[in-house]
Amino acid sequence: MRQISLRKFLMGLFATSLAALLGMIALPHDKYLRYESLNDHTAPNAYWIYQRIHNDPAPIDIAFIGTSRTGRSVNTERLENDLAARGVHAKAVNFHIVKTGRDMHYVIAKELLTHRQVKLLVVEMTELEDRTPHPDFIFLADPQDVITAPLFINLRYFYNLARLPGRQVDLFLETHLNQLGLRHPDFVAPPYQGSNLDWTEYLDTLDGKRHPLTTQHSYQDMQKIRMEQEAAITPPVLPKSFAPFEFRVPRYYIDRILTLAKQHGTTVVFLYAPRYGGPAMPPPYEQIYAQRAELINPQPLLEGFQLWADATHLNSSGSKILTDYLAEAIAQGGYLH
Amino acid sequence: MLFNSYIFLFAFLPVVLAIFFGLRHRGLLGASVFFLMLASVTFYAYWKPIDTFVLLGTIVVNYSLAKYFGRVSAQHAKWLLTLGIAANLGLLIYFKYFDFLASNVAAMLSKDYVARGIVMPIGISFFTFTQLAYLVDCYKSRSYEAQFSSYALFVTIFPHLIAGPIIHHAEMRPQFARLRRETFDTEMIIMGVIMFMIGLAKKVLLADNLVSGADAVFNVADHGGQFNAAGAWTGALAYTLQIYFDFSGYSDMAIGLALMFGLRLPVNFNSPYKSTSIIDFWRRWHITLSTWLRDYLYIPLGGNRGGEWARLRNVFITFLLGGIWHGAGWTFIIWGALHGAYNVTNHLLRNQWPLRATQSFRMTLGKQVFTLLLVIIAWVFFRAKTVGGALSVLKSMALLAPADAAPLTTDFSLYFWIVLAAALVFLAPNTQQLTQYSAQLSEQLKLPRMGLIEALRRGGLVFAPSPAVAIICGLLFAGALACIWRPAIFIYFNF
Repeated sequence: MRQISLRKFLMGLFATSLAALLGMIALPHDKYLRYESLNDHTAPNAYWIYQRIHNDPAPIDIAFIGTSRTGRSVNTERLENDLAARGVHAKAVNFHIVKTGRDMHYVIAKELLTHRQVKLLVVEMTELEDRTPHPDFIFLADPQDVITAPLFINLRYFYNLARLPGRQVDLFLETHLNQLGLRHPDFVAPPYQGSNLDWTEYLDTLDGKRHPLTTQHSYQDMQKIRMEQEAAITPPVLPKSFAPFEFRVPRYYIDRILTLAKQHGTTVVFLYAPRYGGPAMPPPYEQIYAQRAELINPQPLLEGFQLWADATHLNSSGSKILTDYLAEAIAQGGYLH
Repeated sequence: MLFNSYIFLFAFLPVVLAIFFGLRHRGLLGASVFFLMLASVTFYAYWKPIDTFVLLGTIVVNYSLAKYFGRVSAQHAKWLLTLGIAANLGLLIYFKYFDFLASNVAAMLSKDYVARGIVMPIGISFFTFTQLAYLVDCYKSRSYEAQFSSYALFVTIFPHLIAGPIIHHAEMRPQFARLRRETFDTEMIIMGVIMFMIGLAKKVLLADNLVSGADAVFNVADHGGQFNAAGAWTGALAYTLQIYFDFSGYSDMAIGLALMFGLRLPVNFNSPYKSTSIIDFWRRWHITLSTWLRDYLYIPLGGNRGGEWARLRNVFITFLLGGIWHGAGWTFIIWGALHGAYNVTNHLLRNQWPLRATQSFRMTLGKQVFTLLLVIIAWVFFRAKTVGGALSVLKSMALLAPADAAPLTTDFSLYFWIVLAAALVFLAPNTQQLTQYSAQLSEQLKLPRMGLIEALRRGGLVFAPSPAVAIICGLLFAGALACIWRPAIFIYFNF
């Protein structure tokens, strides 16, 4: 029998591991299960996003990409009606996903634009760039996007990379167990909820309850909430000249979204989704993106404290004002021609 | 820091190994041993830095006490020993049992008690027992470890610090001394890597994939729910296999890591589920704890010196206290009492019908199955959070569940893992057999020289430093890496 040295033994071990891990990453699976697996929130919508893109033949003329700020701001059904009243007939879909992270916006945009013809892509813009990647990026991203994600400064890169082989194996097994009827998932998505999943009037949680989004606070309370939110903001950590590194992740992915949209002939506009008491214009837009795409800015209409459910989310009254303004801006802007 | 975490596998371990061997390469053997102690303290501090003060405090106190045994009269030495034992046990009782004792006393007095929520420092049960044994040994021999750093390394050496194996100073002292003056064979490192990979795979690929089955049943039972017989048996079997692969996986990893640093730790498992009696089981399960309880509890209680009934009483008390050592709760007390009763009964039966030299296969199998059944019943109490939950599971296992008791709906994969784990438990050789590891310092460590094919032809399986074994270890490592994103603590870290 052939004996080998410690060095050769370790090289053989690590080379085998690497090959096996690459093999795991290459395993195929049903992509829907990937979207269904992101379900640990009270009211997940990732499975719905997949269903809307792939299974619902209704057109997607206007698509919104963003965080829960966008989710709680844009009532797409109201927007369609507002546009129709202005003689513009278009189907709008809100593809927001909770929590911040531009990498996730790219994942959704990529899935959408590579499978559907979209006329207008409305991308959320906020008063601050989100330097951190989305915590759930690993749930939805394609393997090549996980591997080729920017390394600097991406605090989740190695975690996501390490998680990838296990995710691929799990999804591969789930796909085949599903086909054999042997899978008993912890989470079963509800029946398809229609072409417009609205989060501005009500929030339907997984426990079957419907929560009206009509919360209002007194002026004093809103000031307190605003100050608490402002205190929680982490200003840039590195000197200004290092901003391209510190904010590499959001800038890289917005750049990719804009490039992807251009490739597919989709117009992109940014929608400023401000926080309560936030600046009149979002600084990232002014400093970086003003030359790349237009901005729809409803901020002056949203200064009233009665329009806010909390520091960053509009209540249903606020969303109505924003949606009406948005319809006017889209119709006036001629983005759908 | 968990052995099965990215931070340990890709940062702590490679860095510590690199510095350790870097120092040794430059001939700084003593410094490498001192560095290992510092790395071990860092490893512990990573959990909760404040707890390091408790660990270091006990080290200073026990080291100082032992130092004085040889310098004072026998009477004073005895006082010092009593003081040391009281201090160690006092600390353990405070951190581990205070809330439990206080709430039970309050309940007896019909008074309210608001739990203080005392969080015990991780590994306290293990480092307390390690140091108690040291104190007793020093008292008996009137000798002590002269070098503080050596004693600190003995207590803190990171592979065993959190969950054993429980080591003795007499086993480690010559190894530290040799490490300070000699280099060691790379064969030890290969054996260490192999054992670590086997342990990692046991924990991450087997134990962690069985968690869902056990949790699904016991969590429901603890909250008043009940499964049908199949569901309850699935949960009990899943836990029986989970705890074995969890703890034996940890022990393999601990031994493997120690080997990478040129040290040998005692064996903790020897195919316990193949035992043919409960007495046999306790010679194969958590061997270092059983040995500790025998040497430092059973024998001081009187052992077998006071006649048969005193022996049986001491056996029962030893197991009862062994149960309490595992945790503050009635379920652990019942688990200990059950094993005490099993052992007493086993001794009585053995007195009546002594073991025959040879036994038929059918007889051996019957004994193995019966022993395992007793062990599973006891595990139900060990796993359940409440006595009611344990009784509910046992009732279902005994086909006494109500007709409308829920079936367990679970993935097919759980049954796959149960069957695979059971097959490995009953049909595969254990880690020592695979690697021919021996903790006996008198025996030379030599990996088997047989090829896989050759070994299989001879009806066995061995892990030699061959390309095939490197590939097997690589596959185990890859499989483990794919699964360790799920945070899963070792069961024995809770004790």
